[in-house]
Amino acid sequence: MRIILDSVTLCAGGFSLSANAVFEEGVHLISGRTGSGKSTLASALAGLTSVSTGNLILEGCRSPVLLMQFPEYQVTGSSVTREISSWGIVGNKEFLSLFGVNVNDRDPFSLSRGELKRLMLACVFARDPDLLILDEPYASLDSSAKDVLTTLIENRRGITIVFSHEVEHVPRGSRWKIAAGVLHCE
Amino acid sequence: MVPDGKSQQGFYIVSDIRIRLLTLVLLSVLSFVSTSGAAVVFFWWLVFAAKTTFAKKSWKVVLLTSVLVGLFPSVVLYFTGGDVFYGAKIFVLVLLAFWFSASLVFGEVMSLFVWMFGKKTGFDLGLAAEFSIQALSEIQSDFSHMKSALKIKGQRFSVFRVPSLAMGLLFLSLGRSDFQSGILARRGYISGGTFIPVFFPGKSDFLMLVTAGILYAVLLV
Repeated sequence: MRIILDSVTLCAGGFSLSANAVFEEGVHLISGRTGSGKSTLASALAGLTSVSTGNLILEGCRSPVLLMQFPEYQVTGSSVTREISSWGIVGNKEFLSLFGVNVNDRDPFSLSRGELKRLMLACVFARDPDLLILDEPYASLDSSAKDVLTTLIENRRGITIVFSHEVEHVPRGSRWKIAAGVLHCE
Repeated sequence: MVPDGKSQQGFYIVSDIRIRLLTLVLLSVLSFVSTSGAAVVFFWWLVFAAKTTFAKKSWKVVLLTSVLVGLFPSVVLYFTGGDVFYGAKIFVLVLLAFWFSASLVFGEVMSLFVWMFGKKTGFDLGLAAEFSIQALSEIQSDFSHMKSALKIKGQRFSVFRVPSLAMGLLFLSLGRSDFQSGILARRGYISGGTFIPVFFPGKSDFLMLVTAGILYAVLLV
């Protein structure tokens, strides 16, 4: 299983990002300045937006899942319980307790940004996708939740691509950087 | 504060909102008063405005909204014995509205209001209008992200999803409004302010105004 970016160009909102890369199984950490195109690349890798030029090939990836930068975008359930169900999670409650999620009938929008982020993280890990793309997963998390997240990322199977500015809690893996509109392997 | 004529994408835009507004008024009157006027304005829209409209707005949204908004009064008037072509006029007016909103550049409405009503009332009206335009654009972007989120979960958009998505849109909009009002309060904003309106009239503005003026003169005067 791997992702191939063959002379890929992504254009959106006045910027352009070029990428020639192969993401093998394991953890890949991608950093870059705000507005450098990280979220656009994340969206393209998840198959949500098409590339402007080149080829983006997802070899053997059957279930890509993207955790968006803002967890509010991903809420479709009217309660925490329904939100968990909306991810199609059956019985796999381990991740919910790891992230300290209280399963109840509260409106997800009444949760704090940090609580909502932990709920979404628990749901995407419980789905156990072969390709997991995390856009700024450390934002709004406290230190203990960041540690839990780092451990889970490092112990995952398949491909995990992490877009982050985080410098303290960083999972082990290949490092990539977006600079001057180009994706580089460090 | 001086607007620099740049679009949100960073491109320089040579266009004057005052000329476009005058063109819009002429064409709106023309299309509203007669069916033949509406037909001529529709062709004007195809020649001068369709490209700008579809560059910023989805053709599906533009056509679906225009047809639905136009169809409703026509159907009602058909059964009540009124002018069935009234809907065609509304259809053209909606197309014009889409063109005008698609042609707006960041800071232009502020310039227009300050130019028209001065630094106090004009500034306040301009600020409110700019925030509203920005909020609408952000709601569009939020909605697009939410549709992507549904796709990630393997779900489809349906009426049953509307309440939770609407709640999300409301929550995000209120959060941004709270942030913006906090910034204004910290900067000591009470009412009015200093803003120098700047306009960048282009050849196409004059061309659109002249053609609209000729059509108006030929059909109405």
